Amino acid sequence: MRRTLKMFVLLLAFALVAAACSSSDDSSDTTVASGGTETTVASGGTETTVASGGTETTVASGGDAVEVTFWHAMADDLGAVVDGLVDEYNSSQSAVHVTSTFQGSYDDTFNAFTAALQAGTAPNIVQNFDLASQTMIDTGALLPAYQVMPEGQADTFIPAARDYYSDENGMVALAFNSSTPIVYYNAEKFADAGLEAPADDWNFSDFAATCDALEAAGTEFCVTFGQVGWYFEQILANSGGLYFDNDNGRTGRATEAMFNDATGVEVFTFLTGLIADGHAPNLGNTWSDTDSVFFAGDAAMIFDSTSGTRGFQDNAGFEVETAYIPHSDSSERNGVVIGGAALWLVDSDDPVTNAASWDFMNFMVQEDPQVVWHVGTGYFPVLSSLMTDTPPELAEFWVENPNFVTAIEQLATTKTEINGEPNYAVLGGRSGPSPEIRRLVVEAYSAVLDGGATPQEALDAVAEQVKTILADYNAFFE
Amino acid sequence: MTTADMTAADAQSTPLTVELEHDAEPTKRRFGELPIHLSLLIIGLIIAVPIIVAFFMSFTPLPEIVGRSDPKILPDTWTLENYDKAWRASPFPRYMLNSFIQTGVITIAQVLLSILAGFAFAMFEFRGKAILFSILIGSLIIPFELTFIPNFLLVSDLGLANTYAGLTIPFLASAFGVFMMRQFFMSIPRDLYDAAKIDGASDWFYLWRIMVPLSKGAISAFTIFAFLAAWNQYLWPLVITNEESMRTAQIGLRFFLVNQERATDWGAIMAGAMIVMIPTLIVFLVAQRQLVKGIAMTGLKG
Amino acid sequence: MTPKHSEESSVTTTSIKPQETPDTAPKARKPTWRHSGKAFLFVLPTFLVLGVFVYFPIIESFRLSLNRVAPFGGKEIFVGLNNYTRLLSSPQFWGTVKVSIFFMVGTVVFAIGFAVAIAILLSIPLKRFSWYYRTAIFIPVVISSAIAGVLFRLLYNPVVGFFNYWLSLIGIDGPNWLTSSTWSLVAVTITVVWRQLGFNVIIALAGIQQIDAQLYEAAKVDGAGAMRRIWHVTLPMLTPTLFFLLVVNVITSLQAFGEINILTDGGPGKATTNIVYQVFVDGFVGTHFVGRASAQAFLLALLIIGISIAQFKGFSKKVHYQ
Repeated sequence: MRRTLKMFVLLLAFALVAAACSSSDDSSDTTVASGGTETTVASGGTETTVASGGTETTVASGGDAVEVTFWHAMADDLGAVVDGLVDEYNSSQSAVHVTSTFQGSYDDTFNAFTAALQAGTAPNIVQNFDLASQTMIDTGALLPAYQVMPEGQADTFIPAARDYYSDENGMVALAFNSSTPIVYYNAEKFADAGLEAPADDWNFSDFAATCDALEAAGTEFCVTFGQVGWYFEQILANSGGLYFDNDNGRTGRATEAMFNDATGVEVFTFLTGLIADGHAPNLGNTWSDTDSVFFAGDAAMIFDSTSGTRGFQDNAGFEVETAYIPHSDSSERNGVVIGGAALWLVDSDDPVTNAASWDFMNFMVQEDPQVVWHVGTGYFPVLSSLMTDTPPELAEFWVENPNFVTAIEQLATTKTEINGEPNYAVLGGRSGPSPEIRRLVVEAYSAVLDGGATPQEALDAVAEQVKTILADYNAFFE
Repeated sequence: MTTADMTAADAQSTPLTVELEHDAEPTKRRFGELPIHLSLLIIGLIIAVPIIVAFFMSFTPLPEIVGRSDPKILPDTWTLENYDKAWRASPFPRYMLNSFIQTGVITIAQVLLSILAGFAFAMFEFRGKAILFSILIGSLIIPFELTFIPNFLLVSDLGLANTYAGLTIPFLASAFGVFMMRQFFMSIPRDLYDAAKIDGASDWFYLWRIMVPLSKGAISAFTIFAFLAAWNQYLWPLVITNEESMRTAQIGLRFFLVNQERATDWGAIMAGAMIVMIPTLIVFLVAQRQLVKGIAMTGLKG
Repeated sequence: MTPKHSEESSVTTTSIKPQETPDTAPKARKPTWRHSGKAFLFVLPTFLVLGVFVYFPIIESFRLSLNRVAPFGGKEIFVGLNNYTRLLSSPQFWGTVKVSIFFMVGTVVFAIGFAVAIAILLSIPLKRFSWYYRTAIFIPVVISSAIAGVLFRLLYNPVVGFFNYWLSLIGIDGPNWLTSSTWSLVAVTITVVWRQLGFNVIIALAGIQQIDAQLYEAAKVDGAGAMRRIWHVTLPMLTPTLFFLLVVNVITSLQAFGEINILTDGGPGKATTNIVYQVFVDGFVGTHFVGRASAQAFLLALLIIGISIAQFKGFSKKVHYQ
């Protein structure tokens, strides 16, 4: 009796609290970039000093460690390498303690992050994918890397990674896991068909000839790839095509899609044609089902990320070799857009925490962690020093694992300038609603393969929607 | 619908138990029972096949699953490795704990609040009763899809995303439960209430000592509904949690499936599915009669 | 249906039946506010929760649907009915409506049709095994949409799945269940029907067992065979139950979400994106369009509320009462 009464009172109180809370105003998130404060975190002996001028905050080691939360999107084996690096960092010093959380796919992580911003539960560091860059900047919740980065550090990155994650002021995020798509192929099938390794600048016709030879030699499918937006974006860039106007959204906000121009249509015709003509199985929008087909030997080639190099090499029951992605017949080879993801520093309004977060981010792009990362995964190292001044153990690794070099060279040979002007095609399209636009491009595959639209019609329909989406988005910043 | 309709509707004494074993139609047994047994056996098997397949695959080693072109239901060698993998590779113990807390809080709150409000609507006369009751019933036709975006924004703004409070708070009350309790309480003769009143019992005493024990059947049926509904929730926990440590079992299972980077480990996924299914299967096997009666009750015109 | 999913609250309306019998509860004189205090305390917790999480969101949802909301930071631009007019003139929206209708028709026809047939079989008294059949047939009633999605995703898988293997045994080359835009609709429908079946059979069986045995006797005396008795006695007498099932299944199928999320993520393309799924995608995936999502949610809600109300009206008129 008394207990039930108690229960009742408790419930009532709870309900009242709930009601009271709901009527309280939404707390507004104000974010102030902490420029001009100097913050030092003593991390196990070495001192990291951040920014210059103003007040100085020091975290003495020996006191309680500063807690830093880090969200990442690396599953399974990749996640294990990340966690290994985090552990190494944590045990290397006592001033900062990093807790890393796996948030699911890039999309999931991005969603989680925008939701967390709303709820005020954002982490200190978030790994976010290439496409989300504009939105990340637009949130205003970040501390751009250039504000905390020592002068000149930006130039320690390979130019492609530096430029991709820069705005007019400098690097806004630290390129961490960078990848590009490459072609993995079954070397035995190539040998059976009497084929040489594909040329670096092979175009669609060369690709088709390779397919004919492979299929004539008895391979069921020439190639397999998931209908994700990325391959279209990359092969478009390799063919010199632009994704958006305003120089791919680099010299002004993107206002309309350019990918439905002649180059775009040529690329999309190539990709959808491979599936429609039976050269590739129709597996839908997938990153994993393609692997089974390739491993089973049903397809001789697979488009995938360089981040899978380790996985492909170790898990295939045959010799796997790698090649560059092809480009359109009507273009020269341009190269690839750096993909993957970067580390973003979320402004916590607390200089101590910001400094601690930066210390960890900075650790992740040092030489040793980058070598561990590259060797363990296939994401390529983002430091130019590792390319020019390669440590002997890495050089040895590359000799033994030539597949890891393909990705690096594919990027290194990318034409970042044409006649002294930046080649915006290989910088990749940038816009706020890019994730949504990629989703529409994925749907265009089905419009062609299932809905009977021509590639031109399908891309035009997407471009029409993109115009509205971009206008709506840009309206928030006028 | 008008309030008058509503009051008319519930005054009716709905029979609350359905005798499923009651033989409505003795069919002529010209061919004997065999064809009926056969058809029911086949139908039962077809319906149970997804669960049977999952059950056995959860004990099948991975190479056996991916390495053959003629998939077999029974494993050649049995292994518990998949359960071990599911249990460790992703924080399933934590998912299960979260689900139990979320489900427990929702179920207890819904049952208690429904009993209280149901009692008031059944036994008391009060100002605005008719209007309040229409408002209550009106909420039953509001689909969740209409409310979940504002609820998401509200719960997030309160800082309750990724908390047990955020997972449970929108579901602490159930209009359906209130209605169901009220219906049942009204079927208990009012003389009993009057007699208790004459003996000097308080309303509170009458509710918990007389009404509730008399309504065990209806209360347990509603408890089962509330439990299953909460355990099986999908959309809300999907959007309101983004930290791995706060995911419920259903959502954890979803991420376990879609986050497989390389060739999907079906054995471990099926083991995860079995783990998530077990609580509801236990409820089903233990309380099948109660559950079936409860469901049947909602569909009978009386 | 609510018994299974409190998220899908709308279906419970079905349990309220307009009755002919008048209210028999003693009508006291009008109670005073003072007297009402105790009753208010009893109902207060329920109404607080409903007020905050059901009634207020209805208004808020409508307000949001009149705005364009920035994907982050909560910045809003008032656009009036623009979200609605854009939706109604967009082929993408009507595509999701079409998908919703496909699921609805498929679920209604098959989940109810099979359920009635199975219920008739189950209603035949058997000496033994009855419990086993019922257990197997009812079991999907406790299965969540997530589990159903995972189980069927395995069965449909082209490499390790069973459906196409079994089909190949009888010489059929199975379709691309989840990657063909036609078959993915079928695949999702099968999964939804499977999960709905247990509930439908239970309801149909209860309905059949309510039918007066004398009616069968009378039909038998008139010389009606088993099939004729089903056609002329069972089905007509079952109309109230069938009507109830119709409404529940229409609403449940309009709300299909979990299975789609796990099986196809709305794809390939938008082939299995129903209205609910598009609301989710717009509101929570990639770039967020909360205003547009709210407008779609509102249109969907109007549809569901309309069907629910039509049920109240139709129930008293159309169906056969004993």
